[in-house]
Amino acid sequence: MQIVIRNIIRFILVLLLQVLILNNLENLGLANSFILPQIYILFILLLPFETPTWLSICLGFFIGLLIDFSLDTEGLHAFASTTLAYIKPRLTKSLSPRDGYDFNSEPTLRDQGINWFLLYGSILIFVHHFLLFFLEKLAWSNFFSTLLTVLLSAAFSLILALIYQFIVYQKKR
Amino acid sequence: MKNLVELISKFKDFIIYIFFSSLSLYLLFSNGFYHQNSFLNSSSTLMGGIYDRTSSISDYLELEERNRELRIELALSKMKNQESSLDLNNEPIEIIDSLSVLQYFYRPAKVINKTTGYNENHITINQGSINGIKVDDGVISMGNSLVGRVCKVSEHFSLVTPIINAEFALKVSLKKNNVDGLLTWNGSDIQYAQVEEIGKRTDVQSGDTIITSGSSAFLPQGVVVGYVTEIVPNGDVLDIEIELKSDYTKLLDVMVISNAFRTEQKEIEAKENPEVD
Repeated sequence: MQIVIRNIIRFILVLLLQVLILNNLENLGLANSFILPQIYILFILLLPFETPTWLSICLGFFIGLLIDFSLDTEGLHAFASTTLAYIKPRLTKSLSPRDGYDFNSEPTLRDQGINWFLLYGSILIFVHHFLLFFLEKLAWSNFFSTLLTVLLSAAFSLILALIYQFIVYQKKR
Repeated sequence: MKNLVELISKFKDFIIYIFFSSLSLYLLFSNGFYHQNSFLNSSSTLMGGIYDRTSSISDYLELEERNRELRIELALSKMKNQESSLDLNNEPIEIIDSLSVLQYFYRPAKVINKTTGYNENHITINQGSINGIKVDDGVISMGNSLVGRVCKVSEHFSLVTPIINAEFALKVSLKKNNVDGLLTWNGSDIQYAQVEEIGKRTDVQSGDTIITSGSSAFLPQGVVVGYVTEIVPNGDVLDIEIELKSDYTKLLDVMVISNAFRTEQKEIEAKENPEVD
């Protein structure tokens, strides 16, 4: 039960972070159009291993749709995060250690270690950002500038995901 | 049938994924649906309310830039105005676009320093000869009221003699009957100035508007100077006290007006009457 509440709190937290701060970076003059970090997908990334795939897909669609509401992007984020949620259980399965994940452990930095999370996080974040920005542009003409956006934004999202976990999980250690 | 159920349960996740991803792609590529449902977008009450609060922060940070844009826009729109153009209708030119040429250029400028407590006050603005500003150009406020005239120009800055400088003098007129007078300042109150040389039979009432007369070469006619507050007869003339429209305590942005034909006007006037302003 505790794990459900923790995920609900995380859901609200990353949503607020994304909508109130990260989506306004450009307005605040703190970023250019190449760096558009998306922290909200951290919610999908950190869903427990036991989450059924259908549930994580629904949640992915839901949180993506909420971001779409705030940005008027009409299903763009919903599509990218639905796909992310669909891939996630497959990736965790293929990344699992020989004797499986520990009981009750979560796909977090604390439970799985930095190497595991870096690999896991960078793959999923890259896939998500790739879908997001290429679907947004819908043109291969600016391939390299879009790819630059993807890479820079993904790097920033990953760093933010690490910082988030350092801050939130510090006390529990 | 049993096989079908098994098949569905096997591909359950995939089916759900296909459902949701095609739903989002449908939203993305069908333009109508999303915009017709206003509860779904950022102008809805919830998102609108959140953005209202956060935008006030970013608005504050962008204020400088927005101000600059607005000043430029205002200057451009003033140049498009009919009053800024010298009519060339009498010329035998047939090209429609050339029926008038721009007589008054408006350049936005920022007040970077000013004094108001002295007898000879000055305002410094952040535009100079490099921006095309010349001595004796007129200076007005954003609210289209008279501020003063440029008295010194350096490369990047100009010094303005405002109305509230004891040395300032300018021909002004009453808006309702075009009677001319001389605008001066006696140094007592930066909200009030004086108009002299208006004959005692002139119909003046308190509240009348005083505008620039247009007989001086550096300002267009009709820039508001202030409003009559007090009329005192003094021999053959009236001493008129006016409340200035420009608020010098709050002056931040001004516009510099350059008359493209000033030299020409001066030259022809100087031949006949060397004492004209």
